[in-house]
Amino acid sequence: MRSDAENLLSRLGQNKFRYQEFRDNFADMELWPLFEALIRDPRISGDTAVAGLDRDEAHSGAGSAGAGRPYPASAVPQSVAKGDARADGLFGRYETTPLAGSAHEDVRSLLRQLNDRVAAGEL
Amino acid sequence: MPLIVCHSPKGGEGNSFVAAGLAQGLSLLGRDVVALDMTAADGLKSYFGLAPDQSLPDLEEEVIDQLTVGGVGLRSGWRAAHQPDFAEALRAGDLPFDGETVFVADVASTDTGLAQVLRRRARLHVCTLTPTAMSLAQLPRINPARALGEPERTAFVLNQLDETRRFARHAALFLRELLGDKLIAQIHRDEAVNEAVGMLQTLARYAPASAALADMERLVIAVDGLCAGEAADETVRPAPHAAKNEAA
Repeated sequence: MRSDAENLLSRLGQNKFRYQEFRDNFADMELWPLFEALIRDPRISGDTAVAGLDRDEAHSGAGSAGAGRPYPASAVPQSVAKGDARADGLFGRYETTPLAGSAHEDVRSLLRQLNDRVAAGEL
Repeated sequence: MPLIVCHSPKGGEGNSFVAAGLAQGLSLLGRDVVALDMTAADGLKSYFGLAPDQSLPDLEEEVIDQLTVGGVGLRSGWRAAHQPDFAEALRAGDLPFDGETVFVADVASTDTGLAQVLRRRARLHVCTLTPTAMSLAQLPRINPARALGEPERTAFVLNQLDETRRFARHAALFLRELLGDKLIAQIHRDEAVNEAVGMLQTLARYAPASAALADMERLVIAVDGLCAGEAADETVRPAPHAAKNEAA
């Protein structure tokens, strides 16, 4: 029993409470993307092969912790955002603005389509 | 066990609180302890119930009347640590880190160079973290040259744990899995720590039944055990220069 709880119960002078500590089960833990990024960080794992893999994935566009997330969606924490409650506010526009990475992805997509069409003999 | 270095990769983790608690606890276990404030902020003394205007004697100063609180000697190592020859003096053994006295050094998070120099001479590095995303994000900076799981003289403390908060619970679980035995203690968030400083009292005097104090007791016992183990290893293991001589 934690000392502060023990102290409180003794001050209350009663034994009607039952003390129980609840421990989180590791399987119930939500897998925050930060945790995954840390596990994959070669400065923590000491695994230089992982570092190389990460770089390769990043170059192939499959990289970043968010994009390559191996967890089921239910294991990932829910965003605290509630619908479009802040959509009209200043920060509501924040992530609706295309990010720099999206432009890269558009170029990649265009090149891929061109490549496919060349391969198919259409161009 | 001469030197224990308390250094966190980020400020605001409770590094000074942990350093002060370790010094007080080791003193209660019968060790001769000096708490060494190596920060410019000069905040370690607050956890000993001293007022902000109370200055600590310098590490290298000859002091007749030692400043001691609860059996712990208090010194400021800030000036000495920022002398150009400090690292050399440390290497040459000119600083008093080889006797029976335990020095618990509180090093500022930003002073990574000093922390590295001291860690080479330390029996133990105590790294305090909090269960926040910003604290965990600093983990890769602690021992960038080697994996956290490798044997090293670094022990971790999870401070300000509040299990009513979702991220804190998950972070504690994550750290227990990641660090294993290296996570030697967790200290619950306790307002009594703040209030004790406000009352210019030590936590042990202000709130002897506080949760944080009970957690600190467990940390002290763990650190004492680790340091005793390291000392035993050192008596078995030849010193690097002795090994070189044997090889020659």
